[in-house]
Amino acid sequence: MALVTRSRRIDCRGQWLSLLLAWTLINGLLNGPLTAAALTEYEVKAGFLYHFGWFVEWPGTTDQGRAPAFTIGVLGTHPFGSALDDIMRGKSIGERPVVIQYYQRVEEAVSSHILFISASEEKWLPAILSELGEANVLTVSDMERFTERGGMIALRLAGQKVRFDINMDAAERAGLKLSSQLLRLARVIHGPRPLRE
Amino acid sequence: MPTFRNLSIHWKLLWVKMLASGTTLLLICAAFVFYDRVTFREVMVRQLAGQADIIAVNSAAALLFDDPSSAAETLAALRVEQRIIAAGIYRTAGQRFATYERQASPGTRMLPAEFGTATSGYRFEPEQLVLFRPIVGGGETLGTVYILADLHEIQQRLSRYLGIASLVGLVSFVLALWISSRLQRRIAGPLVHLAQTARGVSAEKNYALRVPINSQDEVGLLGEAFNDMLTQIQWRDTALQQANDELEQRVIERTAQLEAANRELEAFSYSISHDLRAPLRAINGFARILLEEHAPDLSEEAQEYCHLMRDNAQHMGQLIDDLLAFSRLSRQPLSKQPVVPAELVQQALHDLRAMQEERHIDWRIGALPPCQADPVLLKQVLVNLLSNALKFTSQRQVAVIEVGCREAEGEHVYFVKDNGVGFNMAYADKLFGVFQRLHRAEEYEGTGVGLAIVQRIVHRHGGRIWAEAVVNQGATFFFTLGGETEHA
Repeated sequence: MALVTRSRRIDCRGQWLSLLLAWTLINGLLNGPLTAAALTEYEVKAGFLYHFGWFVEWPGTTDQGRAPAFTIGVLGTHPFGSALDDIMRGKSIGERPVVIQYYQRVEEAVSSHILFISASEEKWLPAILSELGEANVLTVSDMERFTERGGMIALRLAGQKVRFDINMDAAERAGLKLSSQLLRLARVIHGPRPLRE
Repeated sequence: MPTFRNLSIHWKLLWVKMLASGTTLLLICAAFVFYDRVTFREVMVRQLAGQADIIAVNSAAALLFDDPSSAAETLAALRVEQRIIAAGIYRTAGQRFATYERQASPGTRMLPAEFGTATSGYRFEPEQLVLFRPIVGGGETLGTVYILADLHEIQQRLSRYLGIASLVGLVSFVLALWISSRLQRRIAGPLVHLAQTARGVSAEKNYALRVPINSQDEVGLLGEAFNDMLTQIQWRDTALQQANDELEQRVIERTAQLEAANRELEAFSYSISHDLRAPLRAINGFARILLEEHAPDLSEEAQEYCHLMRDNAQHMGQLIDDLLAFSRLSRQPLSKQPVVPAELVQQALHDLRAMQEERHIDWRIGALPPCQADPVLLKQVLVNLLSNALKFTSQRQVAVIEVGCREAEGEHVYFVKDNGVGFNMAYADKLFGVFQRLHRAEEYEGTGVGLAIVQRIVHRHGGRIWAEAVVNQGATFFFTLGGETEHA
């Protein structure tokens, strides 16, 4: 697997490249000077959240005449600050403009396309996942053992790079189709069903 | 090296054929190569662009999620394409993101460290094709796929084409040789035959040769014309030969006739001269007997007549002798040898001593250069000329006779000069005729054959003779002997 060979090759260049990539994603068309210090871990993660939208297919959405907004939700105490709003401003996935929603209750988050579950919600994770059930929501989190516990995409740090694991079974249960390109970049696990209380 | 001009028609035809087919082959090959090169490049660009696009699509996620090793794996799929020697993925800002090289080498020398802002296009370099395509995702340009392909395949194809072309050229050469050797009998054959016949005719002068006619084309017409020409030449040759033969035959006949006539004439004149002498001797003899034994019986007048009879008979005998000598002269062979004329003059004067008796003669003998002549005949010339000089100076108190030689126009001119009666120059052309006399026989004895003999001898030597004179003041006889310049 790619992740195995990737190992711990972390040098100045690698860091620099990752920062550069994030900068590219954030600034888009802006032609500002490169400032390596500008990208924080959560700025990179915010970019990832946005780009997951490109490589995942949600059921039923293609048939709708008028595309609703593409909703990226954040549940709990989010660590992004203003980064998420800054990145998503004016962006769209396909034809749909990206909208950021901050939720405190999981019931509200059922209609979002992507849901970032903050580490603050770790205690209630089984309940949250159970609440979402088989709703077409791509769950993302950077909490420990997220995929093992039924989450779909777990963000983690490999050295100073952000990497992710994917629970294929969970995604399939939610009716989501993940692009093979995305799967190639991820550590894919076939996790257990979400625990029911 | 023989030039094309001198080649046999057979080889000329072959060369023309080879040149034509070779040129065609070359042009076709060139067209094929050109076409192939163009289409091959187009196809190559299209194929590589397609592959680059696939790479682009499959590496978008790796770029977005900052995973160079995944991008490198994607690039590694290019291994199936033999032509691609290196490939790379670059970010929009130009930095190298991931690379692939067919033959791993330290560093990445084949790929530029940075790649500019151009995101789509290609360029051909001497041995490589550089192609780059954009990586697009979510409506944005994320980076560039850069591919370096090897063009050796084009060179290989080119050399393969050349190989095929030279093989086809060789085969067509052999084929052309074979066809040519077949066609030679049809086209070049008659011409070669014609040329050989023409050479044979001119070398052997054999106009009976003919060219076989097998065709009705230009060569056939040429052959017919040649044969007609030969027929005419042959006919004329025969006619000419006949005319020549006839002419020769006629000349032989005429010569024989002339020789016979000449012989007859000589025999006739000789026998006549001979036969005439006998009656003359008889007349002379009987006249002498009459005078010696019957003188008492004869009157004075009859004795006088008898004397006249004897004188005339003797004169006639002299005439006949001279005539015989003259005719002998033309039959005698000429034997030229070096002579000293001064000696001959002395011999002649000795012979003529009778004529000098009781004469007062002033001899002036000059220097006489040696010459080439028949001594007997030259002495005869001198005797005749000197006796003439003595004869025609008989009336002078003192006879002055000069013998000499002078140089004129590169030849020796001998002369005999006297102060005698001379002659009228109006009759100079009659001097050397037989029996021609410018003076009456009563005045000066002689038969009129002397100068004719002199002229004949001089002419037989190849020389000339002429005379100058003034009446009553003297005459000069000049003569040359041909070929004197040899001894000058």
